[in-house]
Amino acid sequence: MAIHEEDPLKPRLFPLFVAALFASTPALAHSTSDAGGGFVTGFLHPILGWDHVAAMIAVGLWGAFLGKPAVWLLPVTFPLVMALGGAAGAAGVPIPGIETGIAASALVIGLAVLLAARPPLAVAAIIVAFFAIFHGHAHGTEMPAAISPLAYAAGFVIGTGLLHLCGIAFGVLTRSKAGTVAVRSAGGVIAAAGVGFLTGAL
Amino acid sequence: MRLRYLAGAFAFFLQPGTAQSHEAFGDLGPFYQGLLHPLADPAQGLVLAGIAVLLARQPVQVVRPAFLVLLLCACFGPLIHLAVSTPSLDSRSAGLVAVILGGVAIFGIALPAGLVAIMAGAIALLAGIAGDVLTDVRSLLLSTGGTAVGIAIFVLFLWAALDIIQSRLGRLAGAVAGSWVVAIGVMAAALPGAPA
Repeated sequence: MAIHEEDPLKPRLFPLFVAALFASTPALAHSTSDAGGGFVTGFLHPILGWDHVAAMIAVGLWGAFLGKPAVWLLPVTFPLVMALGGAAGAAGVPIPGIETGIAASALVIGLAVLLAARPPLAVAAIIVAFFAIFHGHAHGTEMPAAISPLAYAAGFVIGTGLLHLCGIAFGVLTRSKAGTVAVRSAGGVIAAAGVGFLTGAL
Repeated sequence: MRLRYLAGAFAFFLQPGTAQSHEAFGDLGPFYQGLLHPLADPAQGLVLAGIAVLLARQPVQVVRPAFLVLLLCACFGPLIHLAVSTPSLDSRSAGLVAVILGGVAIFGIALPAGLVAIMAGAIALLAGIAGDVLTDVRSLLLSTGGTAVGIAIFVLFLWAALDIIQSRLGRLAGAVAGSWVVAIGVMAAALPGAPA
């Protein structure tokens, strides 16, 4: 202990120690495999894009708002149709207005939640399916370039599905009056974000 | 004092680079390579996830015999691979199989126990035959054991997780998982010739 108290080198060695920390690279005990890298890239693709996040949460919220069986039908419909868009994107089939479609999905579905729209189940499914093509295409265009395209596909389907589940979980609040206000407000925020995405403000 | 500077300089040389203590899917030996195959090969993982989701949508009386058949067939896969040098599961085939399995799971159709057992066995064989051909008996036995355990754990874990989720959220939660399997399968099938 006395050595530490009287050590004249301590102030000089400390910056050296800090510099050494900055100079070092991270020590990774486990290297990621190709499949792992592809999965993580795909998984993060919908989660790191705010336009995707807003629309996916809105799908879950709307499903919860509509109640059974829509609460499950919409999250079933979305990935199925999204896969077709993804396949088209991977195959290089062009679809016009992808970014506009994604932004419009946040606006339209957000508005549906805000206005507590309760169309027939088939209409709700068609609306969600229509927008799913744009989201799938956006993810799919990057699929062939991924380290492992199949792992990438699995990643973005699961990532998208989990965002739906987040929306559904939040949508469960509609069981109370205050919760319904909160959910509808969230729909309004998502719709406003959709306007932002459409105009390029966000 | 000099000694301390020397120690400091020495410590500087010891700053860590990328210390890879384990290559996740490197030379782990035949048992662990077989065990990790469902995770290392997305095509295998996809078909196994498909059968797990399908099993989760069936009554438990149907699942029990199917799981036994799956385990037995998982053991035979590497042996068949050795005898007949079968090709590994490609992404297009895996995708088509996943579309069928996931499609059946979405609709939750109750299938005869025999048919489910045959499907489980076929999937285990498909997953089991993928991998390197091993010629020495010890490696083959270890690989076979690892593959069987890996397939069994993967399917059992996924089935159990889905079963619990369905018991809490309702049977339709399994349909959502089925739709995920179909979606991944459609895109896998749209990638002909691509590596899994």
